[in-house]
Amino acid sequence: MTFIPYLSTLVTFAFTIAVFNRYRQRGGWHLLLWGIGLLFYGLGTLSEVILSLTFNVFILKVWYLTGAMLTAAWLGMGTVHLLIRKGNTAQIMTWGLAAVSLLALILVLSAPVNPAAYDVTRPASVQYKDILTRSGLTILLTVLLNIYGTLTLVGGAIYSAFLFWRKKVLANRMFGNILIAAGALSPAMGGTFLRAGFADLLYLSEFIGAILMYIGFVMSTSGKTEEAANYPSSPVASPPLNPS
Amino acid sequence: MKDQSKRFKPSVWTERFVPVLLTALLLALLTVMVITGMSLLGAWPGA
Repeated sequence: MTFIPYLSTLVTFAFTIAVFNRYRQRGGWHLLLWGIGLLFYGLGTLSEVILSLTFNVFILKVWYLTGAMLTAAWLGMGTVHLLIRKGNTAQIMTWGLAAVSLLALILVLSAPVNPAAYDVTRPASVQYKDILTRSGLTILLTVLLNIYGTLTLVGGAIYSAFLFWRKKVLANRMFGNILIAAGALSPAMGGTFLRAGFADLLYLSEFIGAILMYIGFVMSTSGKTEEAANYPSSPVASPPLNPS
Repeated sequence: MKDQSKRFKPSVWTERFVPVLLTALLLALLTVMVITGMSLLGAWPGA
């Protein structure tokens, strides 16, 4: 275990506060949902820190629920609200995600755990399958939520950056969205590294992801936002993130 | 950081490199999606 999850937790919670502050000032479903997604991100990395020090069944379940299942989907839902502004589609999808998240919570809380198999010297991410018994539905939901979240968050940021590049407007938002897309992809690729046996790269990817998305968010949201409001065909704010 | 006005005049770097970067990000996204899908089907280790 390294110190990286400590840094990831600090960066992610600072980022969460920044997004909730902006939501408090400006409102907007996308900011609220990104704030919730970031809170899950931070809880996931905080759980990694705690699990590196001691084992606790509840913390392991929090780690799986937030870090592995919900983070990407809630962040991606924020992007959906940013990009789909007409009608109730985004609202309906949000309620659908809330229902699925509730189901995920019930599944994870009711999952059997084998604490005796836990080795505190090894990362939770490389041994959780031997400790937390996941049903087929839990695994299916995990994969689907991550596919949905990664596609919407990364895809949305790439699409936004492309629009700004094509119209040659708001360079800061174009570069901000590129950083957000790269940062959001980082933890998603970390999951691939994990499967390939490089567990430490998962922690590094979470940290890099948090840093890049935070910088991208700051770039995208700085400056005169009223100017962007004059461009109805462009996203008027930028999606902050995307882990899985 | 300040917004660089509504319109910006792209440098050569921006004009050429940004599309390449966006394409690379898109390919990376597709790769992650394929691997995740394969893991769901059991053709890639673990989900």
